[in-house]
Amino acid sequence: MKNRLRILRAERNWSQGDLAREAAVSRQTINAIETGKYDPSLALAFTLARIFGTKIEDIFESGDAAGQNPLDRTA
Amino acid sequence: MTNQDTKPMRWGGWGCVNEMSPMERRWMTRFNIFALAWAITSVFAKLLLKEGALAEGGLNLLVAAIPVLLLALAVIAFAHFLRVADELHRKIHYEAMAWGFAAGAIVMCLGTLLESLGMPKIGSATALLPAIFGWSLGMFFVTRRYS
Repeated sequence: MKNRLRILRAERNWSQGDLAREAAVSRQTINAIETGKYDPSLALAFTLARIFGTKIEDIFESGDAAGQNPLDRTA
Repeated sequence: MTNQDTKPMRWGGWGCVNEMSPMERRWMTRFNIFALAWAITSVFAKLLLKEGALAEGGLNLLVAAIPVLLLALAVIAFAHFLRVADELHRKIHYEAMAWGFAAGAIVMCLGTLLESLGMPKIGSATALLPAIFGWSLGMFFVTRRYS
């Protein structure tokens, strides 16, 4: 899952630690999300969206083609 | 991006990752203490019970019960740790536990098969050693995956 977390964070000049404190998670979690190694829980995704004052879909994007529902894919 | 942002997560010892929250550290410390106490008392209990150094009766039961009690406390402490853990830390520990379970299961199955071929019987507690080793190895590799 792609995300704009690093960009949003850079816009506010926050470190990963700053964002981690704000979201009440570890810095490693923020780092793993930014590098695409870990997909956050729904609760954390909502928390991040609230922190940045935006919607979840403005931060996270499916790895599939934009707008395509993975369930619609034919074999 | 600050220098701190590039600091990788690393394996920090028995069942630990660095930068744990105070609550995580508290329960992990308790778990480590109980687990260490269980390991030490298990060895002594086994020796005492095997050699019949104790008088028969309630003392034997007490010596056998102490490691079990400590193990139960370790499990409770670890359950509390998982409850307060950061979601990535929890995921790392779950995956590492799966490694441990797999290692223990493999050794138990292999041991049973080898016993039927005439090899000496291995105790069920023996499977704990590869399980603990698999868990530790799992912690190392899973932590690296998310670094």
